[in-house]
Amino acid sequence: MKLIAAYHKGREIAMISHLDIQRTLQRAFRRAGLPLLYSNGFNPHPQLSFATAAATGMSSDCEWFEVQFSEDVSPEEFMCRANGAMPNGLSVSDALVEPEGFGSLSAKLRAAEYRVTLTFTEPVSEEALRAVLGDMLSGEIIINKRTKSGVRPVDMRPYILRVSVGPVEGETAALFVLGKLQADGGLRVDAFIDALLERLDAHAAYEIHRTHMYFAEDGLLPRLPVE
Amino acid sequence: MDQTAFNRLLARVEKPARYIGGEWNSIIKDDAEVRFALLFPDVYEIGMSHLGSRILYHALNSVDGVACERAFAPWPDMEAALRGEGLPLFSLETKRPLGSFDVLGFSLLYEMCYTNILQMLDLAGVPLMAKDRAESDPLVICGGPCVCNPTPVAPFMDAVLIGDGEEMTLELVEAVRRAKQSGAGKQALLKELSGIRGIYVPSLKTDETIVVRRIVKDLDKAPFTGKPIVPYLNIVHDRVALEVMRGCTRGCRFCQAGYIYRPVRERKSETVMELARQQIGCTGYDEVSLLSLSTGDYSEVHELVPKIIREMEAGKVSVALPSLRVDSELANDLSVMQTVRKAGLTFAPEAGTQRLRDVINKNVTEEDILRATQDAFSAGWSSVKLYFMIGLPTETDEDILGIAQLARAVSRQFYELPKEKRGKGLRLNVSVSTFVPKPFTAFQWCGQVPAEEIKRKQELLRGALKGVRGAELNCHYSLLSVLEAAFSRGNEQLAPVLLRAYELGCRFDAWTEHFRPAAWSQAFADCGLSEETYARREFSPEEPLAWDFVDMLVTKAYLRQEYQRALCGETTPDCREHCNGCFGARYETDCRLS
Repeated sequence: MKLIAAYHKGREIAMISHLDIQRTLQRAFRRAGLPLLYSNGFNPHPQLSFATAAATGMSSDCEWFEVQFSEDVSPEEFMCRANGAMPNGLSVSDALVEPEGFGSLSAKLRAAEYRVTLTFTEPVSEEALRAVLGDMLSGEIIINKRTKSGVRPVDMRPYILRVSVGPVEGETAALFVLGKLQADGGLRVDAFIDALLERLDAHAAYEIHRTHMYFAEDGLLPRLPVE
Repeated sequence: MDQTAFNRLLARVEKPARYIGGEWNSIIKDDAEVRFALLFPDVYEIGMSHLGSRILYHALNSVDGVACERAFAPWPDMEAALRGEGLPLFSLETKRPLGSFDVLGFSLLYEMCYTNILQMLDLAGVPLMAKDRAESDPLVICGGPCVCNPTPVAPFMDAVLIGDGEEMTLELVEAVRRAKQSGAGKQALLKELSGIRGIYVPSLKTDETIVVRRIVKDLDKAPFTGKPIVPYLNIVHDRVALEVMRGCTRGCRFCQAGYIYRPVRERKSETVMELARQQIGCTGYDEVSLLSLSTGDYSEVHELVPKIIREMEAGKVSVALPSLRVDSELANDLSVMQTVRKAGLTFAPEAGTQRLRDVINKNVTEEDILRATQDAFSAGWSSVKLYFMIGLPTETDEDILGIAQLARAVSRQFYELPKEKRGKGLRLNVSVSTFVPKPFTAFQWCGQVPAEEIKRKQELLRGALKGVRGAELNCHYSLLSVLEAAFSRGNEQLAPVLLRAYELGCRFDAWTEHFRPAAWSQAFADCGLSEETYARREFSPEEPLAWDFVDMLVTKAYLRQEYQRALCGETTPDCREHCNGCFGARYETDCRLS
């Protein structure tokens, strides 16, 4: 049987890579004594797959994944047992039974929402931030994307669905960014923020937190809010 | 530092998980009477793979009022970030600056980590030389196999712990606790420490000082690793490690571990099984490794191995068996091991001819080796590593060519098997390292073979291995083995060299990308010394040695006798068969085998 679940990645482990988190979850599930289903073959590994990777440096409330078990495990039992074996900063925040023939999470993934907390080196005005953002979003946003075949200019504007400005106080500001996120690509929030800072001609350190993931159709999982 | 600032610092370095802490089973104590920082002078992935540190972490944290936290040498990117921000090196558990701990304890596993001791002390803001430290500075101590000759690092240490650390470290911590409670000064504390068996206090050394190695008698009763920490990062030995046995009875004359961990002590097979279940349960690891110097000699090996493999397999846990010797009766166990992953097998003939194997007392014949590789090939293995040393005492070109002949015989054996009965293509890795004479071995008096001669021998071997199907020679010449030889048999004159090398930027010397041979040569030259001369030093068996004041239990007279036998090509039998009297009369009773 399959469960769909979401894990929370706290700020204290934001700098842990996706690969390390993946291994950590597997070991936590083993510690919890959950009946993981293993792949066949020479080097059996638990059947665990993720809607998308959680970037190193990002924290999150909503990293959806699928896990397969050899016996029935209820979502409640899964959450309870898994959370008893999780290191600090990591927890399962949601779980539900995956219906037969559901398909893969990564194929259904459409978008994600982020909260970006910026700390500028100097006080920043909300008006200036809004003005530069408005200007930026009204045209192309070209960034240089590094690919296997070298550096290539890419317009990231089509990946941005919505940006809103949160509280701005002194040197700190918050942005809420809704961006496309699909198996074939998505918004690189850090690249967008870097581009914004360049246009603002300002320096800031920032933290990115994924607040929601949105999926196509079905109704089981969060759907993209209607604009 | 708050989380935001900390994450910002981490964003600047490669592998931030090295510095985050908070791993499953790590222990945080908010209040403690004594804070002990367990330090490893290499990166996290290496240090977390060290079983001894894990044992001490558990043993120390099991004591009420004692908090043991960890720190590892920061990689140069992190060192630069810390210096740039003016931040001190901190512990992983509570992020406390190391300077605020009561004790800083280093594990010294190989000589080429010594510059990182200085790097860590420096980043902690603790004076490097023991004599420059104030009452308020932490007590700086070290232990581990390197300290059987503590002289090169002694001036940096307040105390050196020689031998098994499980009990001695706890006694030291209790002495520190009492000193803190009573307000006794560091001098009084050091005086007390020097009275504990196994503890050497360099500042109190006199001509009469003899430090006797500490041993733990019963491994079944000794503390082990408790609930081992499960790192986020993929560390070098990322699995449950179970020590089945300490010490080795073989008596290979080049092997320091073989002499300095005597007598052999075993954990009962039931204790090992119990530990395996408990540790798999509390870590979630899917691999267990059975550790010892020679697992094939473990008296219950044929009972334990199949049993642990079967039981672990049921929970999708595989079992790794490093250090299985060539002449162990492998065949039966190998057939069981077929069910687990076929990782490469390593055999260590060490030398190419029977003559030289007799000199080094590696009591393994060519037949033993070929029988073992035959078993392995028939059981489906196709990747085999043969490990040798060159530069051994009495070695001639014939011995070097013997390495190639042995490799040829193993290769032929593989290709003579019918195609359907053997694996795909043979991968025969012939790995050759340069012999480093070590203190407390039968070869402690021998000088290292000079660099040019080693290079010539390597080329000779390279030529002789041409045309051996499937063989791949793995040998590099490095100044590293010269430095290792200089420091392992070094003396206090090398402490200023270490300081100078550190000033010249030497760090992480065991890492090829950071090793700076030119800086090392300069450091030696600046101190009026030469690393080559140090490495080549030959001692007469009668002259005093820098490490004579350390009593490792095996007597100097016994080592001298072994050296003489080596030169005559006489072997010494495994002491399980017959006590060879290596402890002399004084410590006979410390060895249950005698």
